[in-house]
Amino acid sequence: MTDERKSDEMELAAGKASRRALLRLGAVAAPAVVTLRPAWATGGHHGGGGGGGGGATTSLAMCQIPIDKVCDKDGKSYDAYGYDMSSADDEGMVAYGGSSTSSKDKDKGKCYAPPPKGYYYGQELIDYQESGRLPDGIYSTKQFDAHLKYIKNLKPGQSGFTCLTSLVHKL
Amino acid sequence: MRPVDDLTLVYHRPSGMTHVVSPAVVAILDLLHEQTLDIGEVCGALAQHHDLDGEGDDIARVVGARLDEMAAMDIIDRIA
Repeated sequence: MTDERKSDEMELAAGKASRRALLRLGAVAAPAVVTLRPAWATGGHHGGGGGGGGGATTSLAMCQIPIDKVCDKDGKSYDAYGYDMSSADDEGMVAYGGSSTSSKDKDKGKCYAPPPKGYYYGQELIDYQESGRLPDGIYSTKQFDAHLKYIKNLKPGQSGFTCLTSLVHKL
Repeated sequence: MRPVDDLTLVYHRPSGMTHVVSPAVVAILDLLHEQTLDIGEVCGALAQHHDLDGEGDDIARVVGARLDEMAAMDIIDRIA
């Protein structure tokens, strides 16, 4: 009876020990995190990958911040309707080309055109912050600065605000 | 967070990013959920609740690599 009791106790101890699951920590150089870009969910381009120990991270902020209005140098936006995009000068400024006789419209001066694709990727703002590289299609820092002022004044509820929020700690 | 076999999907709403993470990352996230721990404390807590595949400095090295990876992905914040 004593031997059976000892045998039972040993089996109980073994059972307790095996109940702790093995946790595989992986290898130093093998990534344990892979990040999918938001565009992957809409069938867009190939998803991003995670970085391993010693490797550079490759997650990209591909959320979008729309800008479909013209902006003045202070980042204040106006409806682009009536502005003649073909009149763009070297700094990206376009003139109001409407035929309206309204006195209010007659006061409309030049403003910076919106980006060619109508939005920026969050990553483009990060790249500018880190390297000064302007997004594709933008050739004037004054134009981009005006857009940045517009973006940084976005309020909750405005399109692009959530994307901006996700970038705050990187900008 | 959603488990898929032994992987877990972690969706970060502010950025729209989805991270696919290993069980080790989930275990570390559980520890750091509401407290700040250094690497030694993370290793100790993991060893307390799991059988780890490794020992001593090897564990600390790998846990450090996981923490670096998670910080790079902004899943956790490193403080000093």
